Amino acid sequence: MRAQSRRLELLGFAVIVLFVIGAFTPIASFVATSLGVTPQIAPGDAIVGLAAGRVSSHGTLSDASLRRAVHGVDLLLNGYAPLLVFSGNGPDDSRVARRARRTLRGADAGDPHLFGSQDDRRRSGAGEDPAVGARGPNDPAGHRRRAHAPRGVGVQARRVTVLPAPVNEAEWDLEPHGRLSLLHRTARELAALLYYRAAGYL
Amino acid sequence: MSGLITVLILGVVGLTSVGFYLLGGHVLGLSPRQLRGAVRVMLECVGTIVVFSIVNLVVGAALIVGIRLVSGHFVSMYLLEDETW
Repeated sequence: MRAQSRRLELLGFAVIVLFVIGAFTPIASFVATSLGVTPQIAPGDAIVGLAAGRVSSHGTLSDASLRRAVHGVDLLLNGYAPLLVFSGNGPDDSRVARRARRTLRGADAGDPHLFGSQDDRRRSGAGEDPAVGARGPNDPAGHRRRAHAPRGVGVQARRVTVLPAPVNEAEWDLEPHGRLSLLHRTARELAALLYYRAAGYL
Repeated sequence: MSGLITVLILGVVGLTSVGFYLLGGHVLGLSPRQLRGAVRVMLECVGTIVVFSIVNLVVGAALIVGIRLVSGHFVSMYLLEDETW
Protein backbone atom coordinates (compact mmCIF):
# COMPACT_ATOMS: atom_id res chain seq x y z
CA MET A 1 0.00 0.00 0.00
CA ARG A 2 2.83 2.34 0.91
CA ALA A 3 4.69 1.48 -2.29
CA GLN A 4 1.55 2.15 -4.30
CA SER A 5 1.15 5.57 -2.67
CA ARG A 6 4.80 6.28 -3.42
CA ARG A 7 4.30 5.37 -7.09
CA LEU A 8 1.27 7.65 -7.30
CA GLU A 9 3.27 10.46 -5.68
CA LEU A 10 6.06 10.02 -8.23
CA LEU A 11 3.57 9.96 -11.08
CA GLY A 12 1.92 13.13 -9.77
CA PHE A 13 5.31 14.79 -9.38
CA ALA A 14 6.29 13.79 -12.92
CA VAL A 15 3.05 15.23 -14.33
CA ILE A 16 3.53 18.53 -12.50
CA VAL A 17 7.15 18.75 -13.69
CA LEU A 18 5.99 18.00 -17.24
CA PHE A 19 3.31 20.68 -16.91
CA VAL A 20 5.81 23.30 -15.74
CA ILE A 21 8.40 22.37 -18.39
CA GLY A 22 5.71 22.32 -21.06
CA ALA A 23 4.31 25.69 -20.05
CA PHE A 24 7.52 27.62 -19.41
CA THR A 25 10.08 26.19 -21.83
CA PRO A 26 10.00 25.79 -25.63
CA ILE A 27 10.08 21.99 -25.38
CA ALA A 28 6.64 21.75 -27.05
CA SER A 29 7.98 23.56 -30.11
CA PHE A 30 11.04 21.26 -30.22
CA VAL A 31 8.89 18.14 -30.04
CA ALA A 32 6.37 19.46 -32.57
CA THR A 33 9.15 20.38 -35.00
CA SER A 34 10.82 16.99 -34.69
CA LEU A 35 7.52 15.18 -35.33
CA GLY A 36 6.38 17.44 -38.16
CA VAL A 37 6.51 16.33 -41.78
CA THR A 38 8.51 18.13 -44.43
CA PRO A 39 6.33 19.87 -47.01
CA GLN A 40 6.45 18.27 -50.45
CA ILE A 41 4.42 20.63 -52.56
CA ALA A 42 4.23 19.56 -56.20
CA PRO A 43 1.57 19.37 -58.90
CA GLY A 44 -0.90 16.56 -58.40
CA ASP A 45 -4.33 15.30 -59.27
CA ALA A 46 -6.09 16.67 -56.22
CA ILE A 47 -5.62 18.72 -53.09
CA VAL A 48 -7.16 17.06 -50.06
CA GLY A 49 -7.93 19.31 -47.10
CA LEU A 50 -8.26 17.13 -44.02
CA ALA A 51 -10.63 18.09 -41.23
CA ALA A 52 -9.22 19.14 -37.89
CA GLY A 53 -11.98 19.52 -35.34
CA ARG A 54 -15.71 19.78 -35.60
CA VAL A 55 -17.77 22.33 -37.44
CA SER A 56 -19.87 24.42 -35.05
CA SER A 57 -23.66 24.38 -35.20
CA HIS A 58 -23.41 27.73 -36.98
CA GLY A 59 -21.19 26.18 -39.62
CA THR A 60 -17.96 27.74 -38.38
CA LEU A 61 -14.75 25.80 -38.96
CA SER A 62 -12.25 25.21 -36.20
CA ASP A 63 -9.08 27.28 -36.32
CA ALA A 64 -6.96 24.43 -37.67
CA SER A 65 -9.58 23.40 -40.25
CA LEU A 66 -9.90 26.98 -41.45
CA ARG A 67 -6.14 27.35 -41.88
CA ARG A 68 -6.00 24.08 -43.81
CA ALA A 69 -8.92 25.16 -45.97
CA VAL A 70 -7.27 28.49 -46.77
CA HIS A 71 -3.98 26.74 -47.54
CA GLY A 72 -5.83 24.32 -49.81
CA VAL A 73 -7.51 27.18 -51.67
CA ASP A 74 -4.15 28.89 -51.99
CA LEU A 75 -2.63 25.75 -53.53
CA LEU A 76 -5.62 25.43 -55.86
CA LEU A 77 -5.31 29.04 -57.00
CA ASN A 78 -1.60 28.47 -57.60
CA GLY A 79 -2.50 25.65 -59.96
CA TYR A 80 -1.06 22.70 -58.07
CA ALA A 81 -4.13 20.58 -58.79
CA PRO A 82 -7.42 21.02 -60.63
CA LEU A 83 -9.52 19.77 -57.73
CA LEU A 84 -9.81 20.63 -54.05
CA VAL A 85 -11.51 18.15 -51.74
CA PHE A 86 -12.37 18.65 -48.07
CA SER A 87 -12.88 15.81 -45.62
CA GLY A 88 -15.07 15.70 -42.54
CA ASN A 89 -18.69 16.24 -41.60
CA GLY A 90 -20.56 19.51 -41.59
CA PRO A 91 -23.73 20.31 -39.63
CA ASP A 92 -25.68 19.19 -42.69
CA ASP A 93 -23.57 16.87 -44.77
CA SER A 94 -26.50 15.13 -46.45
CA ARG A 95 -26.27 17.41 -49.50
CA VAL A 96 -22.53 16.76 -49.73
CA ALA A 97 -23.06 13.00 -49.41
CA ARG A 98 -25.73 13.03 -52.14
CA ARG A 99 -23.48 15.07 -54.41
CA ALA A 100 -20.53 12.76 -53.73
CA ARG A 101 -22.57 9.67 -54.56
CA ARG A 102 -23.86 11.28 -57.73
CA THR A 103 -20.38 12.32 -58.81
CA LEU A 104 -18.88 8.96 -57.99
CA ARG A 105 -21.57 7.24 -60.02
CA GLY A 106 -20.46 9.54 -62.84
CA ALA A 107 -16.87 8.59 -62.13
CA ASP A 108 -17.73 4.94 -62.54
CA ALA A 109 -19.20 5.85 -65.89
CA GLY A 110 -15.90 7.30 -67.04
CA ASP A 111 -15.87 10.76 -65.49
CA PRO A 112 -13.22 10.36 -62.82
CA HIS A 113 -13.23 12.69 -59.84
CA LEU A 114 -11.33 12.62 -56.65
CA PHE A 115 -13.12 12.58 -53.37
CA GLY A 116 -11.98 12.62 -49.76
CA SER A 117 -13.69 11.18 -46.74
CA GLN A 118 -13.40 11.04 -43.01
CA ASP A 119 -11.08 8.11 -43.49
CA ASP A 120 -8.52 10.40 -45.10
CA ARG A 121 -7.31 11.38 -41.68
CA ARG A 122 -6.27 7.86 -40.83
CA ARG A 123 -5.14 6.83 -44.26
CA SER A 124 -2.89 9.68 -45.22
CA GLY A 125 -0.79 10.35 -42.18
CA ALA A 126 -1.23 11.94 -38.80
CA GLY A 127 -4.38 13.85 -39.60
CA GLU A 128 -2.43 16.66 -41.15
CA ASP A 129 -3.14 19.37 -43.57
CA PRO A 130 -3.84 19.66 -47.24
CA ALA A 131 -2.09 16.99 -49.25
CA VAL A 132 -1.18 17.53 -52.86
CA GLY A 133 -0.54 14.94 -55.47
CA ALA A 134 -2.97 12.11 -54.91
CA ARG A 135 -1.62 10.15 -57.81
CA GLY A 136 -1.01 6.49 -58.35
CA PRO A 137 2.66 5.60 -58.59
CA ASN A 138 2.34 4.18 -62.08
CA ASP A 139 -0.14 6.65 -63.40
CA PRO A 140 0.68 8.53 -66.55
CA ALA A 141 0.68 12.27 -65.96
CA GLY A 142 -2.74 13.78 -66.21
CA HIS A 143 -4.60 10.54 -65.67
CA ARG A 144 -6.82 11.05 -62.67
CA ARG A 145 -7.90 8.39 -60.30
CA ARG A 146 -9.80 8.36 -57.04
CA ALA A 147 -7.73 9.15 -54.01
CA HIS A 148 -10.13 7.99 -51.35
CA ALA A 149 -13.77 7.13 -51.71
CA PRO A 150 -16.43 7.84 -49.08
CA ARG A 151 -17.58 4.73 -47.27
CA GLY A 152 -20.75 3.07 -48.34
CA VAL A 153 -20.78 4.17 -51.96
CA GLY A 154 -19.46 0.96 -53.43
CA VAL A 155 -16.11 2.24 -54.59
CA GLN A 156 -12.83 0.76 -53.39
CA ALA A 157 -9.91 3.02 -52.51
CA ARG A 158 -6.77 2.54 -54.58
CA ARG A 159 -3.16 3.10 -53.70
CA VAL A 160 -2.15 6.71 -54.17
CA THR A 161 0.91 8.83 -53.51
CA VAL A 162 0.27 11.55 -50.94
CA LEU A 163 2.51 14.59 -50.76
CA PRO A 164 2.15 16.41 -47.43
CA ALA A 165 1.60 20.16 -47.38
CA PRO A 166 1.44 20.97 -43.65
CA VAL A 167 0.18 24.29 -42.38
CA ASN A 168 0.70 23.77 -38.67
CA GLU A 169 4.21 25.10 -38.38
CA ALA A 170 5.60 25.07 -34.88
CA GLU A 171 5.74 28.52 -33.34
CA TRP A 172 8.51 29.54 -30.98
CA ASP A 173 7.26 32.73 -29.36
CA LEU A 174 4.31 31.15 -27.60
CA GLU A 175 2.66 32.08 -24.33
CA PRO A 176 2.36 29.36 -21.65
CA HIS A 177 -1.19 28.50 -22.70
CA GLY A 178 -0.09 28.26 -26.34
CA ARG A 179 2.78 25.96 -25.38
CA LEU A 180 0.50 23.65 -23.43
CA SER A 181 -1.97 23.65 -26.30
CA LEU A 182 0.81 22.78 -28.76
CA LEU A 183 2.02 20.04 -26.42
CA HIS A 184 -1.52 18.64 -26.26
CA ARG A 185 -1.88 18.68 -30.06
CA THR A 186 1.55 17.10 -30.49
CA ALA A 187 0.74 14.36 -27.98
CA ARG A 188 -2.56 13.73 -29.82
CA GLU A 189 -0.79 13.45 -33.18
CA LEU A 190 1.85 11.17 -31.67
CA ALA A 191 -0.88 8.94 -30.23
CA ALA A 192 -2.61 8.98 -33.63
CA LEU A 193 0.63 7.98 -35.38
CA LEU A 194 1.16 5.09 -32.98
CA TYR A 195 -2.46 4.01 -33.45
CA TYR A 196 -2.20 4.20 -37.27
CA ARG A 197 0.93 2.06 -37.18
CA ALA A 198 -0.62 -0.44 -34.77
CA ALA A 199 -3.78 -0.63 -36.87
CA GLY A 200 -1.80 -1.07 -40.08
CA TYR A 201 -2.92 2.16 -41.76
CA LEU A 202 0.70 3.29 -42.15
CA MET B 1 5.51 39.48 -24.57
CA SER B 2 5.54 35.74 -23.79
CA GLY B 3 8.56 36.30 -21.51
CA LEU B 4 6.65 38.98 -19.60
CA ILE B 5 3.65 36.66 -19.16
CA THR B 6 5.94 33.88 -17.91
CA VAL B 7 7.60 36.21 -15.39
CA LEU B 8 4.20 37.53 -14.27
CA ILE B 9 2.74 34.05 -13.74
CA LEU B 10 5.79 32.67 -11.95
CA GLY B 11 6.15 35.86 -9.92
CA VAL B 12 2.53 35.92 -8.73
CA VAL B 13 2.44 32.18 -8.04
CA GLY B 14 5.76 32.37 -6.17
CA LEU B 15 4.62 35.40 -4.19
CA THR B 16 1.33 33.86 -3.04
CA SER B 17 3.05 30.53 -2.28
CA VAL B 18 5.74 32.10 -0.10
CA GLY B 19 3.19 34.49 1.43
CA PHE B 20 0.84 31.71 2.50
CA TYR B 21 3.79 29.59 3.72
CA LEU B 22 4.78 32.42 6.02
CA LEU B 23 1.17 33.02 7.00
CA GLY B 24 0.68 29.35 7.85
CA GLY B 25 3.91 29.17 9.84
CA HIS B 26 3.62 32.39 11.80
CA VAL B 27 -0.10 33.09 12.13
CA LEU B 28 -1.76 29.66 11.96
CA GLY B 29 1.03 27.84 13.77
CA LEU B 30 1.44 25.10 11.13
CA SER B 31 4.75 23.24 10.96
CA PRO B 32 6.80 22.61 7.77
CA ARG B 33 6.42 18.87 8.41
CA GLN B 34 2.65 19.20 7.94
CA LEU B 35 3.28 21.01 4.67
CA ARG B 36 5.44 18.13 3.47
CA GLY B 37 2.66 15.67 4.26
CA ALA B 38 0.08 17.83 2.49
CA VAL B 39 2.28 18.04 -0.61
CA ARG B 40 2.63 14.27 -0.67
CA VAL B 41 -1.13 13.81 -0.45
CA MET B 42 -1.59 16.38 -3.21
CA LEU B 43 0.92 14.56 -5.45
CA GLU B 44 -0.83 11.27 -4.75
CA CYS B 45 -4.15 12.83 -5.78
CA VAL B 46 -2.62 14.13 -9.02
CA GLY B 47 -1.14 10.71 -9.74
CA THR B 48 -4.51 9.06 -9.09
CA ILE B 49 -6.21 11.50 -11.47
CA VAL B 50 -3.67 10.61 -14.18
CA VAL B 51 -4.24 6.88 -13.66
CA PHE B 52 -8.00 7.29 -13.90
CA SER B 53 -7.68 9.47 -17.01
CA ILE B 54 -5.57 6.81 -18.72
CA VAL B 55 -8.01 4.05 -17.70
CA ASN B 56 -10.94 6.13 -19.00
CA LEU B 57 -9.19 6.70 -22.34
CA VAL B 58 -8.35 3.01 -22.71
CA VAL B 59 -11.95 2.01 -21.93
CA GLY B 60 -13.22 4.69 -24.35
CA ALA B 61 -10.92 3.40 -27.11
CA ALA B 62 -12.06 -0.17 -26.44
CA LEU B 63 -15.70 0.95 -26.68
CA ILE B 64 -15.07 2.69 -30.01
CA VAL B 65 -13.31 -0.37 -31.43
CA GLY B 66 -16.15 -2.52 -30.11
CA ILE B 67 -18.80 -0.32 -31.76
CA ARG B 68 -16.85 -0.49 -35.03
CA LEU B 69 -16.68 -4.27 -34.86
CA VAL B 70 -20.29 -4.83 -33.79
CA SER B 71 -22.09 -2.23 -35.89
CA GLY B 72 -19.75 -2.07 -38.86
CA HIS B 73 -19.93 1.73 -38.78
CA PHE B 74 -16.80 3.83 -38.59
CA VAL B 75 -16.52 5.70 -35.30
CA SER B 76 -13.57 8.05 -35.08
CA MET B 77 -10.94 7.72 -32.37
CA TYR B 78 -10.82 11.51 -32.44
CA LEU B 79 -13.85 11.41 -30.12
CA LEU B 80 -11.26 10.73 -27.42
CA GLU B 81 -9.34 13.94 -27.95
CA ASP B 82 -11.50 16.12 -25.71
CA GLU B 83 -9.50 17.62 -22.88
CA THR B 84 -12.27 16.80 -20.38
CA TRP B 85 -11.05 13.19 -20.29
